[in-house]
Amino acid sequence: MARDSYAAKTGVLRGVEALPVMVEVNASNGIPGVTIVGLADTAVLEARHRVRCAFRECGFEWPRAHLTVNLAPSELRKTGTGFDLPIAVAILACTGQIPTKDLESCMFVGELALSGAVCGTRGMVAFERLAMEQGLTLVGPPGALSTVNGGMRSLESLVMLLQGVGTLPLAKPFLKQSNDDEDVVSAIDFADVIDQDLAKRAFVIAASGDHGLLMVGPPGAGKSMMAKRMPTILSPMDEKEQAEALVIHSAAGLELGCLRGGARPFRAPHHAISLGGMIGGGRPMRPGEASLAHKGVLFLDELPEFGPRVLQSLRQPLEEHEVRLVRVDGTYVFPSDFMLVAAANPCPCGYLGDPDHPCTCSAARIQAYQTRIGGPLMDRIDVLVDVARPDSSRIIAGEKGMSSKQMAVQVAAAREYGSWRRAREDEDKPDRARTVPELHLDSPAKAALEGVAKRLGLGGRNIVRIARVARTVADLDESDMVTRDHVMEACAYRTRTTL
Amino acid sequence: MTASLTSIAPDCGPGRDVMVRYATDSDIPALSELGNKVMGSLGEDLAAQYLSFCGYDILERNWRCCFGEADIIAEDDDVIVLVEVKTRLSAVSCPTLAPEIAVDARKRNRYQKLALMYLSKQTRVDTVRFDVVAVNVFDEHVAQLRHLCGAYEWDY
Repeated sequence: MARDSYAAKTGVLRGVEALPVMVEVNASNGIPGVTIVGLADTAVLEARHRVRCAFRECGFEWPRAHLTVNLAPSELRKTGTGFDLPIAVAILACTGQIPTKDLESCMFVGELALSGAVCGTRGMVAFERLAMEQGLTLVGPPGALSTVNGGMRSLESLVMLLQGVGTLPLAKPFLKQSNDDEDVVSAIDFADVIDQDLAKRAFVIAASGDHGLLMVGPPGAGKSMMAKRMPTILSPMDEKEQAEALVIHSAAGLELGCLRGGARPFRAPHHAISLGGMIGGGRPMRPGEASLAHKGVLFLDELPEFGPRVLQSLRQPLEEHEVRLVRVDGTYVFPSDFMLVAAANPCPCGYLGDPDHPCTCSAARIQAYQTRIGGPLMDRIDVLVDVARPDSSRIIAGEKGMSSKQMAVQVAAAREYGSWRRAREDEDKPDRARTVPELHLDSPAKAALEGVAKRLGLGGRNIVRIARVARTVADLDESDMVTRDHVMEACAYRTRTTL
Repeated sequence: MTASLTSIAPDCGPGRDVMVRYATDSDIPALSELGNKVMGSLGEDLAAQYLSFCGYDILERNWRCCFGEADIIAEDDDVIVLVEVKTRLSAVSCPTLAPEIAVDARKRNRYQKLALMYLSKQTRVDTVRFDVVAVNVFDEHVAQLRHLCGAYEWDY
């Protein structure tokens, strides 16, 4: 039955969250045409032409009336192409060309091709979550994966609306799959890394205690190789972490398949990355690499080559585990809880401190190079490790080092012990929020820490950081108290002669 | 050449497609050979007669001033109505093509200026409305009219 107006429900993506929007269509006598009001950007205004062509291709009749489309709430800026489908649905319902049964309980998001096929837009996961909160079913493009059980229906083409939304098939669920996706992760293994036992130990400590890690070493030592293998020793994401990562990846328009099976994200941006690319930005606002690495690993290769502004911008996410960007239209908050793994050469030529290669850099250049990564960012990296070039004879012999599986077992055991230790106490504070006494150092350990701090003139933050790394080392030993040996090992990851 | 309505479908009214029959006073060549001007005045004849049938007083036909020409100026219950008539020959153009699409922003703008001009010349009525009559001519005897009441406003 034709009526004068109809309202379809949809949403708009703002940062990584979706906000509800109503698409109201009113048909009135007048010069045929479509007027879109409600702070729509160019992509939304272009919907007129896509919808009109899709109508013709699908055999629907374009109404001989003036259509006023209102996107409410009108004060909210509307961006993106997901409004094509709700506008088309509202026009079809308004002119009585499709059954309106069940339309009220659906939320529509999708871009229309000129043929009437429905295509995906960024942020389908956020839209599905919004639909669930409002007790609605999301009707979206056929390729989108449903992360909420039965929360999304797939619409192949506009024509299928003729049969009513109740007949649309449910979207393919985003399942934990134990097939080929996991093989991709296990195709790389720490066993390929030869003769780097000290560095591997540092990786285990960093993974066990969520510490930031910086590797310093000459080119070809295997720094990037090891960083790529970091996700293989981390525990798989639980459902909550996976859901958080999914929303961010979906809002950035990335493929979600790589997050299946609980594999943690691994992001390795090139050092030419812009500030907006790192922490998020642009119009419309998109999350950056620091957020895409949420609950995973952010690997910064050639750390000193990154722009100083880009590196300093990482201080907030490292401390607060979120990026907060303030723009004219309000504050955008992107979750950004990642493990920082960085690699650097000791000097511009890379051979400083190498017994076999002479370093060709002047002292001033070395100084300039090293100050670039010093300062506040270095304060936030707990584990610092030298990576020397591996022994050539061992590489030729094709030896195998410690495998990812062995390391993952150590990490899992240490994390389990740590959480048991914390749960035993009254308040479940994470180690990084604890003061030194709360980390349970025994008296020789305290004396050793004091000695090191005095000798090296360490500041308060550095002392606490050494104590926390020592706590992680003790967890790896499944030791209740932090002993002197643990503190000494932690100090080894803190001080460096050449840097 | 003048055309006159001979019969009007009973369910006439604004916003509806109304089938009408008409006759011309002289023998005309095939419709497809008519020029745009003759076709336009044929449509205007039909529209004016249809409007007066609906109870409008036709005040002016082809009223001109420095800004251009208004096809019909009529009065409907103390409202001055400026009517633009758009005529299409259905056989040659797409049958579903609405003639009123041709009333574009420039034309609407012109009518708004014409309305100001016309109102300044008379003081009796100060409410004005813009209508469009779309005429689809099917053949030498049958046409279809659609009257769009208040098709656009001042602030378009």
